[in-house]
Amino acid sequence: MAFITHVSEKMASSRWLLLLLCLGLQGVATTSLANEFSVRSASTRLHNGVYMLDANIKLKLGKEPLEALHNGIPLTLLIEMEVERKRRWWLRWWLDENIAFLEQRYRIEYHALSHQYLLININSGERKVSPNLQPLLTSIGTIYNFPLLDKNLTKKEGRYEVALRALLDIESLPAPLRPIAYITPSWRIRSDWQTWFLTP
Amino acid sequence: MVLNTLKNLTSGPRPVFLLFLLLLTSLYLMSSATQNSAAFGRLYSLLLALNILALLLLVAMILRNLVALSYQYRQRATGSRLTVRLVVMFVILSVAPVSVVYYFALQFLHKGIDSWFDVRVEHALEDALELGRGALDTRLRERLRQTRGQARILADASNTEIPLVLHEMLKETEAAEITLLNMNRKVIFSSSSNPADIVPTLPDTAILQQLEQGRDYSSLEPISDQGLVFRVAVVITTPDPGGEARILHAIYPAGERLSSLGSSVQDAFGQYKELAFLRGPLKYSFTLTLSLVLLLSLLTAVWAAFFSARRLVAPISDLAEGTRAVAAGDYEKRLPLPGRDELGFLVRSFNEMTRKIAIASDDARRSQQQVENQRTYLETVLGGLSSGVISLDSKGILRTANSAANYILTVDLEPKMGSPLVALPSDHPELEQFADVITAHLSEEEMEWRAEVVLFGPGGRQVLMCRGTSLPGDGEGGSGHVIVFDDVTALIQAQRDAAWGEVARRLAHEIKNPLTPIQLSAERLRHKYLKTMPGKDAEVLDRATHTIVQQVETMKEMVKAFSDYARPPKIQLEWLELNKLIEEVFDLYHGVKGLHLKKNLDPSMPAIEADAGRLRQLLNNLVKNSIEAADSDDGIELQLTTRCTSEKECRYVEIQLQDNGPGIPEEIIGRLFEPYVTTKPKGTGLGLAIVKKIVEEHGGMISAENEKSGGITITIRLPLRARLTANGEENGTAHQHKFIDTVRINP
Repeated sequence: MAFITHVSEKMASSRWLLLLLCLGLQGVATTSLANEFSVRSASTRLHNGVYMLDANIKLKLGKEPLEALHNGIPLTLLIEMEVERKRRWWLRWWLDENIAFLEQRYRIEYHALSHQYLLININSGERKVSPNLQPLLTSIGTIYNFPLLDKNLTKKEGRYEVALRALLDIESLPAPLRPIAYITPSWRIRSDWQTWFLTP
Repeated sequence: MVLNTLKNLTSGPRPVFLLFLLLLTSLYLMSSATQNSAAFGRLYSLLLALNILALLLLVAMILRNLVALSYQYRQRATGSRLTVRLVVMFVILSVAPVSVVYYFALQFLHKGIDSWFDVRVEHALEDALELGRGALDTRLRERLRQTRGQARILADASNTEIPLVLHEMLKETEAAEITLLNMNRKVIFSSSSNPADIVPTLPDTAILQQLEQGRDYSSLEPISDQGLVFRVAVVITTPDPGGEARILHAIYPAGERLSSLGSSVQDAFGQYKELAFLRGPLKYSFTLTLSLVLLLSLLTAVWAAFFSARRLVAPISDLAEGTRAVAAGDYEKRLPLPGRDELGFLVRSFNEMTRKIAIASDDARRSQQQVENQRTYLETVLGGLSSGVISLDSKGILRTANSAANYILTVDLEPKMGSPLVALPSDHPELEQFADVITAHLSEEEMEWRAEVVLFGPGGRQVLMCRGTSLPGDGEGGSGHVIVFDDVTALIQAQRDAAWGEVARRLAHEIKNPLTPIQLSAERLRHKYLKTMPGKDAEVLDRATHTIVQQVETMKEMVKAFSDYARPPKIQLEWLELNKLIEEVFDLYHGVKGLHLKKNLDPSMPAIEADAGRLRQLLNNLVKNSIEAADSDDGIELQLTTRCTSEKECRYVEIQLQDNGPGIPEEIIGRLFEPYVTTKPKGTGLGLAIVKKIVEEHGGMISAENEKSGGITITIRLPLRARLTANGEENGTAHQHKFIDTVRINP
């Protein structure tokens, strides 16, 4: 599956480093202030031996990202999905096994000449054009029949937890904007992790 | 070992220089990333985080150094003040220029970024966009009108004609794709200029909603692989009222030329807008990078200040420590060599110096030890000498004296060391003669001299034989003198006594022989011629022979006395009570006219071992002498005192006889006990000489001194011998030989 990306350890560590830096720079304002992104509903169902994901995520851009978009800055939105095999509670903190990490990347651009918003699914290359932004965001947030995990990859006795969230990728912004984006709450848009257990 | 290697790698300048290089590299990358370099753009945040972490690390290292330095400063550690001064100097030297550069760089940066933007350019770009939009809108309207026309044609066409008509339309209008579909998005027919496109592009729900409302749809859409396209959708109204409404959906390429022009305008506008939007963040990022560079430079400079100050001060501190150690007497201190520079040379010189000092100090110690040994040796030799030895330096200051000197002079010379010899008589007037003689010889700068000194001290007359030698030395008049002296009083006395003994023996021998014939001849003359001579002659003869016989008798007595002096009978010692003996002798003098005897006898007097006859003779002689010397008209008062006393661990009995006579003239008091020394008109002049002989035979001593109130006191000291008890133990505390060792026989 081309859209499944296993995150390497290196990337994960750099992510942690960045997180640390953000915490350091931002001080107390660590919680995401923007409620623009939130997972309204999410569920999985088994269909032909593959777990399918259905989800509805509310996506809305704040003033600063919108302004940046209108000024020719492309925005990248991420939908992150994670499947973990839960161990017993005393082993949980360090031994939860990561089964799969999937990431759907979308880029939104504004085409000033045509007054059109352009949505590109980076994983698939699919494009959508719309004179309004919201239909594009809605199309990103509406996930239906998304193949999450092959049943063969799971064990019978295991308990598997699925986590889902959406966020604006600051690392894809132009370099000069990144430090500001890291320390500005309106740029740090991300939903909380929505978690649920896989049901056969 | 691993730990040491790790420590070596993490300490010293290497890790910091490495850190500095890494920071510099990452800052360079960061600055490239800020300028939108694709290569480093992705790493920007990572680099930023790394740089900040590294700077924090540097700050921590500097803080550690600062804390350590402040502690050392408070503890007044060696070199800490110099380090502080160097660090402050380095910091000022680095902060001032860097701050100036920072300020101006920031100014230039902001102005430079601002200068990229021009309102006119922005307007021109917006105008160009507007123009392009206008041109495209015209085309779009044209396409809409065209599509509507075709829709009308299609409305009239039967179902079988439709594919043909659409195909014709595709050719005619150069459309990319024309699709006929119903309102449920079901495709009735589609024709595409690209045979590969099997699946037609469908209008989305938003377009359909608009069409349902009876409004045609037309828009310009950017589709990257085809450039700009016009999308037009119109509703085909059917003439029959029950007929199904259809949609004609067409996509027209904007044309290569128009598309590229439009893209160019769009790209330029987009880039300019992006740049304008990023103006603030760009300034912010550049400022951040510049600040990081500044901080890096500053912190590295501060750290370098600490490092180099420490490096610079370390050998100086070492030198200070070393100097302190040398001052404290530790010459073994060697300092580590800091390098081949001037400081290294200094440290090497210091090490060389301490090495030489250590060698010199060892030599000095050895020499001192040798001198000390020599001195101990000399002192032992001098201490063992029976002659007194004193040494004086060139200024006549007393330097050494052996124990025999103290004994002979009866003065403890130890406290007088370091004081001039001439000052000696101020405390001990009896040594004036001694000091005078020596000083006189010293002032004459004789190399060697010899002199006899006669002292009059509490112990009586004392004759010293002094020999002086000048010591070799560098100073003027030599470096000092050594004076050796012996107490020859006893020797001289012994010689004199021996001489007198010989005289007495000769006299007795020579004179005694003719005396008897003279006496016999005179008696024969008297016997033979007295009867025959006439009366007057007989009277003369009688008187003459009587005188001869009487004088010869007197001479015989005198010869006997001489003989006694020269050849005394062998002494016979026995244990006796002295007080009892004295009383026996004194009893003989009871009834002598004008004589008053007073006895003050010590009742605790122990028995002494002595010759009773000789002691009687001694006492008789003394009493007789006093009687003869005294002026009998005034009455003679004699007081005799006995007591048992001890001095210098030596016990002895003392007999003291005091009279009220005229005393002894000072000039003969020293020779009072020599034969023929007398002030009396009568007597042989041997009385006191015999007394002295008896005292000496008993191992005692005798002295005489004039009383201030008149008269003379004669003091006799006889040693107490230990008396062996029945079980052989000694009863008594003193030995005779000890007494003899310490008691000098006075004249």
